[in-house]
Amino acid sequence: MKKKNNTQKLKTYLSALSLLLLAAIELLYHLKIPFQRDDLWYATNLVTGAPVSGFADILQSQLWHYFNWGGRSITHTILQTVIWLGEPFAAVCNVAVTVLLAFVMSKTATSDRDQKVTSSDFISVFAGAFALIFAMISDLFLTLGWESGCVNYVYSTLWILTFLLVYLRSIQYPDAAPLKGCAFWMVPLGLITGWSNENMGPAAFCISALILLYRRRICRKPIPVWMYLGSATSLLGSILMIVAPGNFVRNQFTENQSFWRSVLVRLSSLLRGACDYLLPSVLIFLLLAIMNYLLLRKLPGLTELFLTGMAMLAFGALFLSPTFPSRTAFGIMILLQTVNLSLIVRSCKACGKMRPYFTVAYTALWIYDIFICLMSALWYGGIQ
Amino acid sequence: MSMITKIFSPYHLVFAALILLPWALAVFIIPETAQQGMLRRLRALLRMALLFAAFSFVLTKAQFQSLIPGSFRPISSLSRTEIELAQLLLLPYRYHFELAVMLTGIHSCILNKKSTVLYALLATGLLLTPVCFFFPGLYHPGMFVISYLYICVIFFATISYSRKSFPFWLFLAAVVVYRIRVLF
Repeated sequence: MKKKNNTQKLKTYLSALSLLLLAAIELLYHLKIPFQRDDLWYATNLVTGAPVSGFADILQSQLWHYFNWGGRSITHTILQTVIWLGEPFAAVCNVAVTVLLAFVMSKTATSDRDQKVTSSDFISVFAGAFALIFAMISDLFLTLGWESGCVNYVYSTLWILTFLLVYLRSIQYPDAAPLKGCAFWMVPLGLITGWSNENMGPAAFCISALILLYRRRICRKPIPVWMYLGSATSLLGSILMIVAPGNFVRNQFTENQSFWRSVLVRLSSLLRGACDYLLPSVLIFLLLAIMNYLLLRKLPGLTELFLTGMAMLAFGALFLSPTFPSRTAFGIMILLQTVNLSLIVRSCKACGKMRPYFTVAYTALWIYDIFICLMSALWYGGIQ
Repeated sequence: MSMITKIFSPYHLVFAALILLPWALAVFIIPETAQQGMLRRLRALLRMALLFAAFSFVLTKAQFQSLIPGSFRPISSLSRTEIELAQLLLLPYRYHFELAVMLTGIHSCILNKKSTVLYALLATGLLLTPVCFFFPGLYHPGMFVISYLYICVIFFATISYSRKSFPFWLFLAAVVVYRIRVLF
C-alpha cells in the first residue's frame, strides 16, 4: 500500500515537473520570437500611424478597424494592449493563457459526474492537456508563437471553453447552486465569447442554446437568468463581429473570383482543414471513440457529445470563413483534444491497464513538443 | 494526366513494394488468418492490404520524398523548407507513435491478445530514434524506417479486430477524404 502511494506521489511530481518544464520552454520560445508582421501594424495607432501611447490610441484604432478592416474588435483591443505593454509582458501573458487553457481543458474533460478524478490524477490530465496543445497544433508559429495569432486564437479559445464549462456544469449538476455572481460576469464572458472569431463564436452560441434546451426539456429544470444572458450576449457578440462594415470593405480587396470558383476554394479549404490540419486530432479521436464506445461499451458523456457537436459546427462554419484554415482550426482542435482527454479518462477508469500506454504516448508527445518549440524558435526567432 | 501522376507518383511504386512485406508477415503472425481456408484467407489478406495501403497513403507520403538522393546531410545545414520537412518527419511522435501505442494497448489490455510482435516493432522504432539524432546523416531515412515500423504496428493491431468492420471502414473513409483533397 505504502509502495503504491509512493509510486502515485512520484507520478504526480513527474507530471507537475514535466508541465513546468514545458511551460518554461514555452516562455523561452515566446521571448525568442520578436513582434513581427501584423504585430508591427497593431503596435501603431491605425489612424495616425504613430506608435500606440495609451488606451485612447487603442480605442481610436479599433473604431477605425471595425469600420475598415474587420470585426474582431475585442481580441484586437487585447492584442494592441499586450503589444503596447512590450515583448516580455506579452511572453509571460501568452504562457499564462496557454497554461490556463490547459487547465480549463482538463477541468472540462473531467467535469462529467462519472469522470471525477483525484487531485493527483488531475495533475496528470492537466499535463496531458498542456502537451496536447503543442503537439496537435497545425501551425505552431502562426497560432502560438506569433503574437497576433496567439491573441486571436489561443486567448479567445480560453474564454470560449470557460463559457462552455459553466454551461455544461448546469446540465451535469442541474440541482447545484449557480456560481457566485454568475449573472454579472456571464454578460461580458458571453459577449467576448460570441465576439471572438467567425467560426467558434457563433458555434458557442448555438451550443449554449442547445444546452439551455437540454436543461429545460431533458433535465426539466427552470432556466436561470444567467443562462439567458450568456446566450443572448454571445449571439449579440457574434452578430456585431459578422456584420462589421470592415469585413465587407476587406472582402472587396480579397475576393475577386466567380461564385463557383469561390465555392471550390471554400470546399478545398474545408477539406484541407479536416485532412491536413485536424488529421492527427481526428484520427486519435476516432481511435479513442472506437475503444470506448465499441470495445469497452461505454456511453458517451454529455461533455463529449456537446463538445464534439460544437467541433462539427465550428468546422462547418469554416466554409463561410475559409481564410487561414490552419489557424482557425485551432479552436476545433482544442475542442477535439478536450473530448480526447475525456475519453482517455473514461478508458483508464474502465481499464486501468491502459494507463502505462497513455503515459508512454504522453512522454513521446512531450519530447516532440520541446523539439518543435526549439526548432520554431531557432527559425522564426534566430533569423529575424 | 498530371492528376494521375499526382496521385500515383513514383514514390507510390516503392510504397507498393513495401505493402508486400507486412502483408506476407501478417500470414505468419496472425493465427486466425493462418487457420482459415484459402478463400477466406485471401479475403482477409486483401482487406489487410487495403488497410495498410490506406494508412501508408495518409502517413508516409512525405516520408517517401525524404528518400530522394542528396538528403543525407547534417541537420545544421538544412534550409527552411527542409526544417519544415524535418518537423513533418517527426510525425512519428505526433500521431504515428500515439496511434501505434494506443492500438497496442487496446490489443493487449482490452482484447487480451499476445502483443510480442507489436512490442518488438515499437521498441525497435524507439531505439532507432536516438540513432537518427546522433547521426544526422541517417536522419531522413531513419525517420522513414521508424514511421514504417509504427505503421506496421498500427496495421497489425487494427486487423486484430477488423472482424468488427466498422473501425476498418471508418479509417478507410478518412483516407478517401484525404485523397479527394489532393484533386483540388
